[in-house]
Amino acid sequence: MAANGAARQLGVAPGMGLASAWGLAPELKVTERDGAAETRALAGLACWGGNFTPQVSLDPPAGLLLEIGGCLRLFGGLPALLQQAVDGALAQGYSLAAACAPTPLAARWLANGAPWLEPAADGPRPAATPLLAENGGPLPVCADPARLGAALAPLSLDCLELPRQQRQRLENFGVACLGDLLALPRAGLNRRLGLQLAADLARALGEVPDPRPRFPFPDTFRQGLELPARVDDAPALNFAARRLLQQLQGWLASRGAGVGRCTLELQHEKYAGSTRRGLPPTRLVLGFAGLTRDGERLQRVLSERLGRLALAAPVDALTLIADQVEELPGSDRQLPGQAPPEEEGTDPARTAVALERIKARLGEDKVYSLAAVPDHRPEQATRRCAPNLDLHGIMARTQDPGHSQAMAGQGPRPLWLLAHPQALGETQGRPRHGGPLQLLAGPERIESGWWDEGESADGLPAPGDLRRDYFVARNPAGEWLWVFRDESGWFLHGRFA
Amino acid sequence: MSALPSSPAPVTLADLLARPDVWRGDALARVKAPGLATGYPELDRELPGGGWPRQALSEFLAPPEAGVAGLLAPALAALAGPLLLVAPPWPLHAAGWAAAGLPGQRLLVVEARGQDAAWACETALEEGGFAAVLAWLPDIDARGLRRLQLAAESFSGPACLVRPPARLRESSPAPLRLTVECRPQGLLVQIVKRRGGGLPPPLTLVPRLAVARLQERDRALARPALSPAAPGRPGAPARRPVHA
Repeated sequence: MAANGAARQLGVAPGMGLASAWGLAPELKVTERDGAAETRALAGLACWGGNFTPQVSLDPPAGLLLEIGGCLRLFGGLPALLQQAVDGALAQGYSLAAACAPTPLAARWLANGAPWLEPAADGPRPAATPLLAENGGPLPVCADPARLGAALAPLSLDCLELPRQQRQRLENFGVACLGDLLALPRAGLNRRLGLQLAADLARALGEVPDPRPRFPFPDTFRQGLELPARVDDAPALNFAARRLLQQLQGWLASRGAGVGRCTLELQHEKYAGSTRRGLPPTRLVLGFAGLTRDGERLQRVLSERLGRLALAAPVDALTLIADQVEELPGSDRQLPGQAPPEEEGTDPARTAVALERIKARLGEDKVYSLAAVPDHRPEQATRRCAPNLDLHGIMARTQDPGHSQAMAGQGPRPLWLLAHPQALGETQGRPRHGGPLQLLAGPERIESGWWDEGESADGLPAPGDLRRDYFVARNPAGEWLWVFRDESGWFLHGRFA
Repeated sequence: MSALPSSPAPVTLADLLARPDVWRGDALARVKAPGLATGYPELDRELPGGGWPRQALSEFLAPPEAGVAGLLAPALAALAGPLLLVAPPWPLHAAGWAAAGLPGQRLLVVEARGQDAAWACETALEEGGFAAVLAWLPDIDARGLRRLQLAAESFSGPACLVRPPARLRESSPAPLRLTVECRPQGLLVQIVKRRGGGLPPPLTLVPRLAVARLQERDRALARPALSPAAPGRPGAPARRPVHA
């Protein structure tokens, strides 16, 4: 059996019998080991590793290797990168031991000898505690291949994960730590203990190459997470879902892709609700205004959605599926000495984030942009459309030439068009709205639409066949109005300001 | 007045008045960001910063019918970037906005009510990314206003809020408050609060709308009001538009 940190403090040791463990710690919670779940968790963690480097390798059963030699600059140096990696892995909810060394095997041995780090119950680890071993922290680091032998020397033989028999023989030789072992002549070791151990030592010291197969990032992203306890409250899912989002972020980074839409499935507890089969999973579709792999942005949209959600039943597992994944090139960083770009107008990325948050909370159809349609009927001349943020050229102060052409020859058009024309009273043949109206321009005859009588487009009732005379009018209060007259009388249809 | 010991030269009154931390009661307050020219020079003169304030909330106490959008349109058209309209009182007509210099692609509309509208407005101001935010929030409370003002301080453009005129009596954290009323001569704009104190007499502005020129033309021609004949298609007694 294996034990976590809290259990080990109570004296439970790995390899102990269950009965003696219970004797030491009666409140011990025993869970059967699930190999498949461990493999899935490691694959999820490997996806998360894509946040740091594309060179991720699995070191089964429970190791993950990140080759970080090529990306130190990007993260601001080795200490900063290690800090981020360890904090990130702890935020994924795993207890871990970590180490950094020039060869994979040495890193693993150092990690075996390193103290375990436990995820903090609330929030990230306080930044004040030192992380690196040279500052008195728990993380052994050896960045210099020349000093690797010295760094490995104090490790106990336990760290080498040797077979029991070999271990016994080494102890009989009087070897207590790895330093003693390294001091022995290799040829003798080969003869007495087999080729494997000497080969391992050579690989650990970097004397022979140790290529590791890269983790094959899956082609589609679908990661699940079982919650340790049932959750009744949707916002409480945020914390768990963040882990999946970070894995998604790493997976996207490894592919150089961005996600436009993803789905979070909330699996409900079995036997919840009235039926025996339980409820189908709740699907939350998260839409983004543009492709993104920014974890912060993913997180914000998710928390807006979860903040509004009422759970039908307690949730015991989450699955995150990336639905729409497309290539997203990285953004260029400034070269040193290059002037930062002129702060011209607004940043479309920030617009996209704001719109995403608003959409996530209020609904996809509550935020829209407008497009002018060349139709003479006023009701049909405006169409709602999805905000177009990619074409920043359009956002700039440009008049669409096709549009102004279509509008040529038209009379003035109001800013506001009432959803339904409002019938107006009449005095002596003149319409009234807060007093008799003064007609300033018109009539502009609009007679169109014989082809779509009664049909409906875009969910709005089609105006159908129109035959109206429009006037610009002003009422005694000074309001500028757009009114029309058809065979059934006068109507107010728009406002100019 | 005790002169500074380290400065031997005599300090004149003019020097003192030129100091940036001295403010004269009869001058408008200096503001960090220059305002956005309103398009009405007579109004610009009365506003601190010479236009609609940026990085601050401007509150228009006006009924929706008064036409604050028409008043703001010249200034908004001069900006680059998308405009966010939160909870507009009526559906927008793209052709009209395009004629005012604001093509439909630049307009982003949020349909919301009550708390949601205030939240959307606050989110947009916090996140930025818009050239300006214009919101109609009739039921926002003092706390909501305070939050909006704080969010607006980090927002680069003008943040304009339209509230009913009845809210004039309530206190508000917005540094600029105006009432807007529709009058036969034009829009009657009265500044009721501004940085720098001293309230100017109300201004009458003729909105910069294409239709406003029609009346000028009519006056010039002394043309009588039109009395049109109904378009001929007899026999439709129902008192409603044909499509409704």
